[in-house]
Amino acid sequence: MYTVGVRETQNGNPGLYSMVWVGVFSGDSHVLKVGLSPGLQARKVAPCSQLDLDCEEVLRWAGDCIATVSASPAQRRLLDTAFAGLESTVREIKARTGFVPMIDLAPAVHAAISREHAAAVPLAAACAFVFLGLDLFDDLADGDRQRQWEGHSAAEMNLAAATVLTCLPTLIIAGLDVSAARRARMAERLACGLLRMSAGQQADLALTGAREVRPSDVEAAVVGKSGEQFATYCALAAEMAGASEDVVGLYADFGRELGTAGQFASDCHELLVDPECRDLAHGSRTLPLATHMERLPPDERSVFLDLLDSARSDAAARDMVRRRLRETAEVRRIMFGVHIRLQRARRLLDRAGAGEPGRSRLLAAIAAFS
Amino acid sequence: MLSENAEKLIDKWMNDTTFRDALRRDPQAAVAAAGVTLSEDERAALGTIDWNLSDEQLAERVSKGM
Repeated sequence: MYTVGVRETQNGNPGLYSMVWVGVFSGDSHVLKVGLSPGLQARKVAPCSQLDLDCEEVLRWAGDCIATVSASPAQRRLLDTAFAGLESTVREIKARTGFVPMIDLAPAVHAAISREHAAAVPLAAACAFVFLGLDLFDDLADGDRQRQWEGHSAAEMNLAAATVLTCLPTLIIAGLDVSAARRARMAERLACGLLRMSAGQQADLALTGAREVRPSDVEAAVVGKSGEQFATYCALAAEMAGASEDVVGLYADFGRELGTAGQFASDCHELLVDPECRDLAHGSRTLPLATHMERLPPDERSVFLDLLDSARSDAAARDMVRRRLRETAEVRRIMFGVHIRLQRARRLLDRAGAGEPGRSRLLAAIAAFS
Repeated sequence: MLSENAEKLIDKWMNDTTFRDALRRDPQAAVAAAGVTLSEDERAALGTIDWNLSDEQLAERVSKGM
């Protein structure tokens, strides 16, 4: 016996935004077919003077999305397991920096163009799902496993990553209350962005443990992997807000600079500050290592590469790598580059004509990495 | 990756203690006095870094939010 159900997901402030899901349900709540009711979702609201987006609203919306669209109870359990990791990551970043790029960027860009951010809450959830899918694939590549995956196989993690990445953002974009032409452009931007991120990840994988590493190769991998991720979030939001092609491009460039700078800063933090120093344990060739190796004569480079190999399992070798980087100011070199990229990002916001209340949030994003 | 002139600045910071002290006091003046030509973004970035911090402190200041 099947019934047709309509469910409205809404945040804690009634009327701020809503999205209507239409599904065909069997008696045991098994969803057979689901879609977003055209024209009913993402109610527009009046422009606001402050961008007061709460990450918890986006998480609630994303959790509701999983509950509604899962095609079986088992699939829902798998996606909920993945989602638990997203929730803890978002809350941890929020507590530490106050700015959660995969959630905050899209509404901030939307508000910088349209003065309104609430309509972009579903898009923020889509971006969070993109991040979650990529993060799971990254964990699989690195052999990392968050606590909630204990008792699950790598194949299940892989299935969750593929499902989250390929189904959820696409479904959300398909239901946005924008013109069909704009929805099609957003779908195309998402697909092209994912292709570039995939190429970046592939380049990054090829660098793991490599003995020949050029700084330009490392930089290209980071631009592809992290820069394109933020560029896609920003471009999708600008497109949704009705920006012209040129302005969409400027916000994409802004996101690319921010994402690339943020990843380099994060790599420096992990190398010198993070006690786990997982990059060295994984054999990752981050930019400070690549620039240092490039400056070494061939015989010293070979010795340093041997040291990096030892550092994968030897804490004393890791300390020695850190000391070498400190002595040669490699981190300062990279951090100067980070600050230069952030200045470029700031200038791109000016060129795009970013207005309040989004502009202040985007400047906060720059501050979080500087 | 840095431009040639930005690389020169970091090399000078590493190898010239007088320049390092000058950069810590007044980055723009130190760079001008050293004859290093920087782009607009590089000059702006020069002023946003606290040159008194160690490499660890610089790295610690940034959020590991990726």
